[in-house]
Amino acid sequence: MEVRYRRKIAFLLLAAVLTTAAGPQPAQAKTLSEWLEGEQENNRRIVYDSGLDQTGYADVRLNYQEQGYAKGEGSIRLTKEQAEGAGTISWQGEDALLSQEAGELKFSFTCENAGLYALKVRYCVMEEVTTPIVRSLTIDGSLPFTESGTVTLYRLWQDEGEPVVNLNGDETAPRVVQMLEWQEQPVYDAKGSFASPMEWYLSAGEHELVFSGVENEMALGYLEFYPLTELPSYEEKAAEYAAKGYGKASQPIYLEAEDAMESRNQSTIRQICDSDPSVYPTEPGKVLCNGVGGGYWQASNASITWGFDVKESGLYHLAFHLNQSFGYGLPSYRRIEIDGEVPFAEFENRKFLYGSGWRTEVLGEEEGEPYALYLEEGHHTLTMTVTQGELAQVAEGIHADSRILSDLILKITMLVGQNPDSNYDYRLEERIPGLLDTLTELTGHLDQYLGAIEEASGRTPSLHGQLKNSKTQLQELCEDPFDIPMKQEVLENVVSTYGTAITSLSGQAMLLDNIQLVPSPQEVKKTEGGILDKLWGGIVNFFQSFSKDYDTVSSAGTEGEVTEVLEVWASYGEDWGRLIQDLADSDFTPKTGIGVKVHVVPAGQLNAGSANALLLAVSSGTAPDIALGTDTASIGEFALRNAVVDVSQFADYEEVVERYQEKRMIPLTHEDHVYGLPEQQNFSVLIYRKDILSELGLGIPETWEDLYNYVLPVLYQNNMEFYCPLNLDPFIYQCGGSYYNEDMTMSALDSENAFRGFSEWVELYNVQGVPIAANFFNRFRSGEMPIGIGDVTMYMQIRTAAPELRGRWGIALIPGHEREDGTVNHSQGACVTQSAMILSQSDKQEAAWEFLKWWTSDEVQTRYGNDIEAQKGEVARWSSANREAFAAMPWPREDYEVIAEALSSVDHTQVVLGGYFNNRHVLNAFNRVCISRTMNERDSIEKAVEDINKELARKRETTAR
Amino acid sequence: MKKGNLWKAWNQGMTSRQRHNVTGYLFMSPFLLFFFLFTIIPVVTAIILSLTSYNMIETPQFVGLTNYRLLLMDDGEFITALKNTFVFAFISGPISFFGSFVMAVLINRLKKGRNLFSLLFYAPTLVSSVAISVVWLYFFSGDRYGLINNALIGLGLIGEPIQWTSNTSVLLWVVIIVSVWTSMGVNFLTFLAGLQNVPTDIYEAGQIDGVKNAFQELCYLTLPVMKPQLLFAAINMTTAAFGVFDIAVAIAGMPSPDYAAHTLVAHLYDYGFIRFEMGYASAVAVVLFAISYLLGRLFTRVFREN
Repeated sequence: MEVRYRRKIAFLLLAAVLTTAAGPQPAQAKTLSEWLEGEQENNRRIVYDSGLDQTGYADVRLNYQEQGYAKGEGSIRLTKEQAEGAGTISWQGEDALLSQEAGELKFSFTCENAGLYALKVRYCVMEEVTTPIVRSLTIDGSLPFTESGTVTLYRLWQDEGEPVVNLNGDETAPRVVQMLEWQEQPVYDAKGSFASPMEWYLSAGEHELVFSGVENEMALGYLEFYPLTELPSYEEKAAEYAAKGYGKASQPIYLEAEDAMESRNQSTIRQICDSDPSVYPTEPGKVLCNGVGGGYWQASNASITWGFDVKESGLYHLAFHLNQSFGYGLPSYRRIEIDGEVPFAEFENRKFLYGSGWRTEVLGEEEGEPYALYLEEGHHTLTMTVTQGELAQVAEGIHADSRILSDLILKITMLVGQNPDSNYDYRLEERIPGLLDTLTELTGHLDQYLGAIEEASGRTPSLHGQLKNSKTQLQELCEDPFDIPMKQEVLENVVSTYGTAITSLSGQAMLLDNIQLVPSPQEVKKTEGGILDKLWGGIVNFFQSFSKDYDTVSSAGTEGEVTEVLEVWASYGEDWGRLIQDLADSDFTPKTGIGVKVHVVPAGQLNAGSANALLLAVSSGTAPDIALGTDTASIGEFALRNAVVDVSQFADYEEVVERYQEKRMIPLTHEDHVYGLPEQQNFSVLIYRKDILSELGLGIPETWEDLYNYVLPVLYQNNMEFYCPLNLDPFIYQCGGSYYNEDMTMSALDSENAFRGFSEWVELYNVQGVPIAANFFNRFRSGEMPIGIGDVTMYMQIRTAAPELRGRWGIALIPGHEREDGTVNHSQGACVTQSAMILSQSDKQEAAWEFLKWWTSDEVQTRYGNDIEAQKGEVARWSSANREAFAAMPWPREDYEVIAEALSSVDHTQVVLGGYFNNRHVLNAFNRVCISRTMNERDSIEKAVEDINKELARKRETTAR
Repeated sequence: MKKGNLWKAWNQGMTSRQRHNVTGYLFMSPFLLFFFLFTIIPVVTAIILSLTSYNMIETPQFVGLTNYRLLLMDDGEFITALKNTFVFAFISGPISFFGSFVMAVLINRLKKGRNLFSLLFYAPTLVSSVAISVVWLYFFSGDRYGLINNALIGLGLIGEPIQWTSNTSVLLWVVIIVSVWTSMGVNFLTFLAGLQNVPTDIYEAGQIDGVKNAFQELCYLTLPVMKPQLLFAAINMTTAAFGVFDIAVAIAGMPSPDYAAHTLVAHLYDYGFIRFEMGYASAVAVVLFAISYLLGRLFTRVFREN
């Protein structure tokens, strides 16, 4: 060819290449900063104030000493007169101010004498929930110290009656009810680290105090600043008694700790049963309530108050029959008050050493005489509150060290990644300034902690060994920093040990059997069980295990007019089942005359899909009347085989459906028949670390495109990852697809929308690099996965098991897809997890329907949720499918807004004959594309559709026969 | 009076041989009762149920040979299950067989510590499959920190952790390894017992006849004498291999990802309890029974004593 032509062609080719290299312009050509601006406008940009600039109370207290502040004089009471413009309400017989969760009260007052003042609050609770009331207190517009922002006021509970005896002769602790009484309490710091109430410094002059709500509402009587008086030592007090000429009393007073309780400030503190024969009352083979405390009496500031009558004024010694075998060697501390006041300094932080087994301890000096208390004739109270004692500083120190080390680990991960090259010298000690110094400092701190722990415990608890191990590991890393990139998990283990240490040090458990006030130490009743008693108890228990019906939780108290008895199988834990039984006995049976017998079965025994209890029972004709806690899909399977009653046929069905939000009944529906009622629901939210995302400069992605284009690249640049659990639901529904066609006869996974959803789902793992399996909880804590999708279990786990993350994380809606009209579809897919059904073999179907109606009603679900949380703590949050009951649980305000919105965008599929195959083949299709990499997306989905359709057709054929 | 008659009949009405036989049957009767109740009756029920369509909740309906037709002609998963089970049987079987034989020979030679090593080798069989799978899953965890993954990543052999329990290409091998480890113990005991019962004089005779080394001893002397034990172990191993289910489910899940560790028993369980077709499952059971029986006959032929 001629050169001319060749040149022209070359020129044209070059032009073509250049224009195509420029590429088709993407639809949204935003830059990261433009996107972040948009996020800022929509308030989704994360701005996190770590509050590390805030001084803690510990530092402020040191400052007080340095400045030489004296205690104030006189007391300053702030009532509604000092409050500006606040309306009063009348509550429980008194006029009060309403302090709401989202509101604030402003007080203006004058302080005449400058000095240090503690704070007393007179308040009364207003709601039936279990979490304490938290308030924030600023003086003259600023927060004097961080703890002033978490002033915690506790509720009081008492036992409702005597322990309940069930059919086996075993006792269960009575229910606790909240006491709606006015209380006046001094304010201690929420962590319980300091033995005396917190003190604020008030200078002379006018001040403005803002009392704003953080959690829950209450009625406020007044706030009173008062000066703390210094507590006398025991010697001084004894001298005072001697001067007044008090003599010993003559009669001892014995109190059973589980009986004499007047109140407690934590609902989880209940009567417990200890099987040791030295504990009174005890009977081999039976479970009797004979003590109080244990694992439930260990949180900071948890207190119990006992009441007793003194017939004769005089001096008494205090003795306990107690068991402090918790903490693997660590001591427990208590603040002991008589009539609400600490008598002398030694009782501010009384140490109870670790000992294996029960012992009778007379409170006294180590080598000296026991303490004597003067009690006048009349009624008195004894209060014991959990404090942190001498080890509080160690806990604080470890907490601070844990933050430092976590930050260090993050810096290392950002530089080195999660798969570092073992042969490359990363020279971390140069790239991270102060790395070795920090590690050395941490080792030095650990030395101090080890010394303090050993001294306080009088032995080497197991925590001592763990911290010593951590110290050795850190020292080794200091010596050889080349190894650090490959040994990141060593550092993570140290952080984890710190976490365990904080929990161990702040948990101060103790069991009490009886309290004795004796005139002289010789009259102390010592009840120690011998080995023979324990052996006998063990033998009796062993033989009982053959005859005792352990899964019956019903009590002996259901006599009276009972027309029929319903058999209910509940696949919940024993305490859950017992609570259902109690509620049924006290509320349902008296109203309707229908008795209820609840049996608890292990989880999974009610599900279809294996040879389990319910399937075998239905097969052999011994099915129960009602099954609670059944997996929703299983109800469909049983229903298709005519084993479940259609509840839509009952007259008041329509009213019952009103209790649920839309679409909740769909997974229980098959061709216009409804086969059960939902019990629990789950939600899916985006969980993120505020501090890390704010440092990276990221906002919350609203759509999946935002995630792919703006969030993931930044995460990967910093060697972090995103977490998404394996679930096709959100993708299918957000793209507008569905699993089945209109008639529910064929799979629709290969239809356009559904396939688009499936592609996006597999590409998330294949193309976008999201890991398929990871421990999100651990990585969220360490910061490797600062953002991910989690459900209610993950949410509660982070809330309760990662307390060091308080305030550093938040939730948002999961990413969605933009619809045509511009709104975003955040559908999470299915939400109903467990439901209740009536079996068709039952001959008491009307009565069973009455029970289900009662069980799923607003009042009962709310009461059940509150009670189970009161018994087991926040971690047992009951996530009811009933709309009112769900809203009534004490979700934190800002989180609840997100959760409520997440729960309003759900989608479900109806029951389909052969529907179990859908899930299985979706996972197989995913496996073929992402894990085993044997097929591409299209082929994989086609195969799945083929298999599903074949099974559906076969099932239809089999049923038609 | 009846008793007297019985006594008379016992003493006089029967010959000594007949008495002998009746006594024999009486002694066997407890075992026969259990055998009848728990083996014969279920097998017969299974054969009957295989001719019905039964979803365990409603009454069975007779359908004739439909189940067999579908099973042998129209069931892709059955072929997969058959393939998996044969791979399993013909790989883990021989490995387990020869492995336990070699170990038995070696341990038999020990003077001290024979009992200790026997116990160690037999111990895995005593442990429940769930406990075994928990321990092995720790080795085969798909996380980066799982023992094997961590070792391989540390040596630089792989970059990403291998998903042992989800990746279909390695899943079957994992199940085979764990299953072999578990099953070697039983055959080992059989072989050990057999080796100890070999009369020592044949070795002397062999020495005279010119046997040169221990290996020739093994091939020409020991093995022929141990034919009964070999037969027993082979049949045992085959039946066990065809019945693999617990281990596979504990490691791979039920059903395993893309049916990679789907054995015949898993197929049976799937249809019986997950898909509510007990009749079809019974048909699978009958086919499984037939295959095992045929293989048993085959082995008897091979190890025949003549």
